[in-house]
Amino acid sequence: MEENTVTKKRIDTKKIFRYAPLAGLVVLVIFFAVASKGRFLSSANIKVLFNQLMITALISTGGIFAFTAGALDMSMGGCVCVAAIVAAFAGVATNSLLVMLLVVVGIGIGLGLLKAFLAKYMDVPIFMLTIVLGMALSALGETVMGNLTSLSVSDIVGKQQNTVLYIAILVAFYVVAMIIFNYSTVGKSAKLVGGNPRAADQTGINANKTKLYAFLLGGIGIALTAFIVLMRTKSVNASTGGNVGMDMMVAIVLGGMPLAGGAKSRISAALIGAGIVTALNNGLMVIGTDSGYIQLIRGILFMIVVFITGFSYRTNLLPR
Amino acid sequence: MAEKSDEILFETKDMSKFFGPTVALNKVSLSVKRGEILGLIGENGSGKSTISSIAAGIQPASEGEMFLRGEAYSPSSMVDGTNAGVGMIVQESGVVSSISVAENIFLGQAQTFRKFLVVNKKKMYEESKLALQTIGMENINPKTPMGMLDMEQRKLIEVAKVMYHKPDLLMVDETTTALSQHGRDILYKLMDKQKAENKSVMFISHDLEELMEHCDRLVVLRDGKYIASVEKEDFEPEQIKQYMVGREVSKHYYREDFGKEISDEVVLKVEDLTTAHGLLQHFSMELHKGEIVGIGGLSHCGMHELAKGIFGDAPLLGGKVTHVASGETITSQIIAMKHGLGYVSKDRDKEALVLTASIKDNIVSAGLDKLKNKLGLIGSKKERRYVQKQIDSLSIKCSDMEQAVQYLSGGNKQKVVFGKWVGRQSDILILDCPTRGVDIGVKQAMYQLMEDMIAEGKSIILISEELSELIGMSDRLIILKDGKESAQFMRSPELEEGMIINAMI
Repeated sequence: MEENTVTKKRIDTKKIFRYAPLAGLVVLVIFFAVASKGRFLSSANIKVLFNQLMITALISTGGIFAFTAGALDMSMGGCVCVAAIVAAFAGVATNSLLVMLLVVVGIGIGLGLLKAFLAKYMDVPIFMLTIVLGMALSALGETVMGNLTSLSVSDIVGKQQNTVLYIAILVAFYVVAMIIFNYSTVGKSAKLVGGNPRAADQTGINANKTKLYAFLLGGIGIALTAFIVLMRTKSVNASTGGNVGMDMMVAIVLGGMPLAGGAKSRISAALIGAGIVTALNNGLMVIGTDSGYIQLIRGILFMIVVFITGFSYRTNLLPR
Repeated sequence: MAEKSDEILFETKDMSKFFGPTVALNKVSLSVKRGEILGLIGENGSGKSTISSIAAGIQPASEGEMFLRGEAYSPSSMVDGTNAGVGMIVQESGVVSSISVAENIFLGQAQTFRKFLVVNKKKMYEESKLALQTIGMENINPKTPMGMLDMEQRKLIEVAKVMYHKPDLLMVDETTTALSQHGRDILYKLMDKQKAENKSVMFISHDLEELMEHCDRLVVLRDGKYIASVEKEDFEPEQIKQYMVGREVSKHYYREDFGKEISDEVVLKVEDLTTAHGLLQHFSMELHKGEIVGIGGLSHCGMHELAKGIFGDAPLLGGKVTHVASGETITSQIIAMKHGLGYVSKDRDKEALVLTASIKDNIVSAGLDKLKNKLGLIGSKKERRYVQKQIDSLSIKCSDMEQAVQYLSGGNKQKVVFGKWVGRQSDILILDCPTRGVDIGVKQAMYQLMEDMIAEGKSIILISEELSELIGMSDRLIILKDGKESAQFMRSPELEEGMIINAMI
């Protein structure tokens, strides 16, 4: 029937939109592979790519919950910075990997609780709150470093790179996060709270509780990211985690979810977006782009995607 | 009066419109003759507003053509439409409240009054006066800020705005629902004048009686398709309703039972309730098992606040609501839901639905606590079964359950809201204007649902602005006036609107 073919055509365009971020990632990889004459996919660069990907993917996977619930968390970079620095000092002081791990997890969860508390009791938009918090935390990290330019933790974490462990951590975290995001009351509530807080409230969904869980999952993301940073770079300095927050935001948006969160959020945005950001950062460098231009290109791309996603929202809300 | 000509002013040929996977209009061809008042009727989602918005230039058609005075016509914007002689008075309020009446009338056209770099306000005010005169509203000062006017006056300003441009084709989209009898009379007079001047009107309304009274011809739409065209001499309400719904509409609409024995068992007790917002003061009532208590009154009588207050959704200054079986006081939505209460808000789009979310996510949203296992997880099979059951039993029209609710028509949206609460098997439903903006077919389904629910021993508080609905459905009817109970009526075939209105004002 004619009607059915029409309907089918429509659904297909919707699907294409859905897979656009993945297609974008593939196109980027192919583009850089060709433009760099294969250097982009050389085994040495793939290792670099993977290391960068992991950091962004971990932080995005944790942070996506708060974004979904409509809480634009701008403090993730500062959080990772403080968690890594304090944990490094604790580890060095006790010469214990376990202590370092416990401290990093403790700080991650503590920061999650702090943000949930502030979100509940401070009558300020969360993104403002977290911008200030992020700056305060970075400053705190700098203060803790004092006169040290960098602190090595290689005595504690060892000299080798345990890539298998890193992959296992990322896969495990992503799978757990995916289940929570798609199949648990926490994930479903976050989408509803982000989509229409008033309706969610009227349907008995506790927004504060939902945000608490979201920030706690973000806290685990902070802890894992900081821990991997320590394991991999084997040292910390005041600028550790500096790009993490911004990379995460760009990743989530390029990964195909609205910055304002809500019902159209999807967890795949964390992984695919991290892939895109990594490919972009690294690829542009490999083909010899000036670092200033890299920032500029990222910024422009970010704006284009925000514009397109925002635009499609408005046109979809036309009258019946 | 001019003799009805056969000259066609406006027509559509095979016009279609798609919103995502939804087919809002499916190859509709219709025409409006000069000197004709054409009524467009159909249920929600039948596509009548879509036609008018395309003709006015608010949105483009996906397929098909339009002709105006025999020439191809495809407006790129509303201004384009206005210039071509097509004017529309819109359903939703299209005015800006912070600027003056005159600026609203000439919204987007200030440049016509421009002299060098400044807008000649004096001229604008004079022209506004003329525009207001055409609809008999000379008494309004064009300098008044729009926000100072009441709802009806604002609506009439919109009428003036459209009429100022002397459209050949005037489209009136559900405007009369916002108007009092006085405002309606102004509009009807304008429509007749339009006809007398050998121009045309396209009149869109839910109200079949109103359409039959004022139109020369009715075109019935259903599910985006052209169903029938009926001339004035053949107007026959039952037949037209049948066209609209697509099956025979039984006369059975409201409840037909009288003298039902109401159980002594009280399920919900409201004591001395005073809400922080709105007017409700020291209100008490008891809701029995298997009973429908209707609540009526004028729009600011406090009845909507009462609904929120009972559900724990509004701050209280005093009093309490008790779930009798558990003895627990209801202080939040979560406690209310724990005891099987459900609440259908009057403000569907803002409060009851997450518009960007799918039908599935919306229906499941109220049932998360029922569906989750010990780990807080919800299997997708179980979830789909839960949602499909509601889609089937409420016959929600959709392409699939993943479809975003924003694409649905008003009636189907409301069915999704019902699905939320019916799905979790609520025992006590608080319905605030549940049939607002839904059409006959959906209304009938909802009344049937209410009957089924009380037959199962569930209880309903029905708040409504429609007296016939309250009389037709309630076992007991409480009328509020200025936030207090002013009268109570028991269900009876003798109960009449007049008696109730006296208690309201």
